[in-house]
Amino acid sequence: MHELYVDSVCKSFGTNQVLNDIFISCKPGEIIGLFGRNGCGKTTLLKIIFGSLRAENKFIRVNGRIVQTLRENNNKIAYLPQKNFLPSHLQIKKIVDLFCKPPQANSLKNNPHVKPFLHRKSNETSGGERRMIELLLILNSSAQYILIDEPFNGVEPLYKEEIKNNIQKHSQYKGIIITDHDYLSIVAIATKVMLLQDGSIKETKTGDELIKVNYLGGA
Amino acid sequence: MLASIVAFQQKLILPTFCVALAIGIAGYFMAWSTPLVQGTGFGYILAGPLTQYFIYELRNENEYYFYFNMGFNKIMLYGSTVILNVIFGTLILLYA
Repeated sequence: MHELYVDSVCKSFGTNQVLNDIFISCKPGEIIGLFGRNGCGKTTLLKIIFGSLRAENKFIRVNGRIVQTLRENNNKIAYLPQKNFLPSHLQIKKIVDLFCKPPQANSLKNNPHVKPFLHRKSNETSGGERRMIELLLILNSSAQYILIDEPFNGVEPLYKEEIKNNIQKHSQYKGIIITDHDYLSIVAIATKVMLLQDGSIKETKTGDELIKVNYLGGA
Repeated sequence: MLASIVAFQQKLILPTFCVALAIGIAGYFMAWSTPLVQGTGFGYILAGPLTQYFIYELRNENEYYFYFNMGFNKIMLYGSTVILNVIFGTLILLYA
């Protein structure tokens, strides 16, 4: 059974209950768009699913196997954080070789968004170039489920289209949960849209519903 | 896996050496009057985790996600630092 199954996630910071009994599931072939206002817990939820942040309670099952910690996820889940995560002391070529298995690494090294920067260190690339490389690395990793946190952050429109195309291409055999405030870009590629609000999560069918729940301003 | 640990440690080698040497110099000139090489050897054992904390936790916390995505967690990364620096420190102490 190929599924990322997340249930009963509870997390609070002090007295502030950010996530309250969250349920979300994702299968290969799905792109789940996760929306929510600033500070509602989207990043927290992704980090808990990935295993880098502890929760008061959580139940995570990956392909039928219960996963409690980062180590146990066994490279089945990959996470693209909001901020640059590439080691600044390594060349992009070295980063690609470390991060991806040889066939993916070789194809990535010939990618037009990666090839020109192979001999540069990550901090010698622009924010948009780096974001594109990070996303391609994550999508080409061996993980079956990909958590993507604000991929369009600081990216020019042309790159946005490329990012959307790449996410759609890889979603054929990977399950993807993506969050970003670029509502239109996410809706264009998402197979399911979820809204995180007041600590709970619900599926929304139309943009109107997002207006109704105050995520988008009405006209 | 080893290549990833080497990449992680690359960033720490020079700062750790500087901190260990500083501990060695402090030991030589200050209260303990420890021989410089011996002080540096002991310094290595302490300097590794301290340098990792400063370089990764305080300055480049997000870089941890690169290694997390490759299956490592913080315990493994700190463990690699401790093991490597205990080996360095012991070799220096044996030389001394």
